[in-house]
Amino acid sequence: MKKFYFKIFYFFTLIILTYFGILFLFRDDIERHYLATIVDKHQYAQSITQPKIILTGGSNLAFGIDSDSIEKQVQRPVVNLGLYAGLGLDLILKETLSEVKKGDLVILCPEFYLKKEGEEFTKQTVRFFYPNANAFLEQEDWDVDLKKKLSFYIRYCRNLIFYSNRKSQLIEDNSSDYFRKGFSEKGDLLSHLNNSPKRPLKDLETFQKQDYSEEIKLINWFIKEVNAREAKVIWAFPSYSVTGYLHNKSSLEFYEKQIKLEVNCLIINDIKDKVYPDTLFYDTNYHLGKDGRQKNTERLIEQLKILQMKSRL
Amino acid sequence: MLFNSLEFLLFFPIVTILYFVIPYRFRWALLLVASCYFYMAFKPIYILILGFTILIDYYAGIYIEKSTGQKRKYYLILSLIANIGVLAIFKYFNFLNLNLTWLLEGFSLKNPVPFLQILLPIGLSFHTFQAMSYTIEVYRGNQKAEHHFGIYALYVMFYPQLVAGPIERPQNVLHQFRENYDFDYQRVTDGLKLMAWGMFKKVVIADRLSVMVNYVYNDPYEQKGIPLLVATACFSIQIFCDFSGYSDIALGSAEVMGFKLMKNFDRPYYSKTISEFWKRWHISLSTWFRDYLYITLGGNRVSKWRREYNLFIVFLVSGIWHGASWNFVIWGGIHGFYLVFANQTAVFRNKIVEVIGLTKLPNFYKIIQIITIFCLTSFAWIFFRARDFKSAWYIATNLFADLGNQLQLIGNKEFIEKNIFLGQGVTNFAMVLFALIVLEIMHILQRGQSLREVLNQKPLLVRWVLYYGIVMAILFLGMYDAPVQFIYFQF
Repeated sequence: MKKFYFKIFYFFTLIILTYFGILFLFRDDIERHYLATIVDKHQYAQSITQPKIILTGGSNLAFGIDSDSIEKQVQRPVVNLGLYAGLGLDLILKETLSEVKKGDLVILCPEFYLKKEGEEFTKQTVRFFYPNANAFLEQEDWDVDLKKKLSFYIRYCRNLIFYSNRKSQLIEDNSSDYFRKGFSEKGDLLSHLNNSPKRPLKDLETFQKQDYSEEIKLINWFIKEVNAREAKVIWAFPSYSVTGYLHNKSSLEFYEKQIKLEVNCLIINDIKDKVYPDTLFYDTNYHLGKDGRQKNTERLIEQLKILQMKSRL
Repeated sequence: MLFNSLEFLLFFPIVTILYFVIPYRFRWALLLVASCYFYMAFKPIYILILGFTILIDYYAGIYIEKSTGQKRKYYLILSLIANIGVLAIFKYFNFLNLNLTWLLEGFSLKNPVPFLQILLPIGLSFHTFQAMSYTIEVYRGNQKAEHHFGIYALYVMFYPQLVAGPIERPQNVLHQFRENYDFDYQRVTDGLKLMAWGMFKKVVIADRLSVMVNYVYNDPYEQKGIPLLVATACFSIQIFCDFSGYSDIALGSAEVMGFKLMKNFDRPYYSKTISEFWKRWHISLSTWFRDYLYITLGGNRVSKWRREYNLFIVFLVSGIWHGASWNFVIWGGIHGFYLVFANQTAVFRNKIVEVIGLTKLPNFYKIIQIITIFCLTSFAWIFFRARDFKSAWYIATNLFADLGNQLQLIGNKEFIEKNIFLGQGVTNFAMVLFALIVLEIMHILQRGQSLREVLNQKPLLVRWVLYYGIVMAILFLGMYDAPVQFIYFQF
């Protein structure tokens, strides 16, 4: 029996050593990973002392916004927290709330697949890179938490082995796109701007006419919390391709109606206003390319200026 | 509790260590408590159903043994009614009621019988059949009635095989609970190796293939031709790895403690005939039906046509055993048809084989036979896997649709990713391919000998490299994105 225990011990020590060896070998992943940008975005948000504009939502914001132009035109500092819709609305809203201060303006622009819960692995990855995100995640029983963590560490290590991009990635090159250093200081993705668009466009989801009351309840809670901090929230629909729009027209109209009826904040556009030709998109039906980004930013500036004129900002 | 869960990863070593530490006389109690806990992890209340059938069968066994003449039969019937009754209520009631509703609707009538709002107790068909085999064997005089209630309960509830078999016979298992097994290094490590191999088949192959299969089978109407063929072939392998993986973990975890359970799979896709397939696939169920239904219906002692009829009936029942849906009945019916057809055309087919000279090329003939059986069983699996009859019919009738055009696109990268990789990237597909190659190598090594014996003869370093490789593959190639339940748990 003793011999058996010793062998088991040696064997699992070997496995554990291998695991940590892999983590050590790929220790620079935090410098490269797309989701690790969350650290920089929050750092930048915290560095702004004046009332600011916070853009929050999914990756449509990361790809399709030029925060420098907005800052120049609207004369207010801007931080773009938009990263990935898979984080889930709950986490996105809570992380945004942590950066809201008096006088801020939050432009809420979630993707159409409004989901309260995000992808578990994505959320755990964010927690791994940015421990502060722990506060934005639902607290769970220790056994559930342990299971999630174990599953995450195994999957993360697997991804390091099989999916890790080891080539050097630079904003200037014309092939890299999803990586941490591909973002500007304000949180806009710049790395895709030099790249040729990828075809066919991916992620053409089929949306169902579904009840989003749970999510809307959460959004209204968020608006209330922001207002309590003497800041404001406005809603903007995200950019979307013509193909995607036509594919989901009736479901999107249903969604728009529900949002306009139930969300307790100013809504500055219609879905149709943010529908652009497919040629303006980079790789998915949500991610704008260089020209699309410029057009999208101009539209947003226009709408913000109108609001400024009406003194509603 | 799933074998591929964190809970089991804790449960198994704790129970096993306690098993070897405590005195022999308390071991049955430990295993019984552990088995109750294992079962109650799914839905605690259902332990009462299990308790009910255990109680009935325990006393039925004793009374059958004590009684003589007709009385013995009455006690057997009582036990069978209790077991089949539980199955009928929990598994088949809503199915029968649904069919009654359709029937009445045909006459513009409303069905007054309400549907039951209950969940199917996990593994119900497995432990019910195991319990039935006990009373039948006592009735036939092949097994003495078990007077120790705890040991009898353990026979039905022994956790390694409680929820998905192998469906054991009392002659094989009951006496083992009275034996004193000491810690035996070779046996324990052999059991662990089998468990690791089962886990590899489940989490690396079956769960990875399930993503590809779901991609097509969850919404097949968008697909035609190649993706349907690929997904169907993938499902054949998925269900084999899922179920045989489970069986290996069950056999391995029992072996660690000293128990020997019956083999459930013997490389079934290497079968050359359908009847051989059924001797190698889910052996414990096939032999159950052979021993308790086919033989009861007359077996081989009846006329030729009566025998074929009996065979067909056995397969229909086997279909309905799997699930309360017409799809399973059709699946069973297809296999019944295959067997009857094979029996009736054997002479004719042998003549053709001789005429075209295949007998002179035995290896080539064998390969053709194996491929044919794989295709036939894969076709039948369509009805097993599809969500409903409509989608099964669509898949079955569109397997070769548009194939000509699709074959012209076979060199196109996008086409391959969508229709052959079934939405999986190159890396994920390569992982599946690698795992399948490992599986086939193992199957080839297993020919005519125990793989573990072959392994045990290798030098320590080679063995350790292999064990290390398997564990690393389970960890890093396994599918943990969303733990997939074992397919056969639902039965």
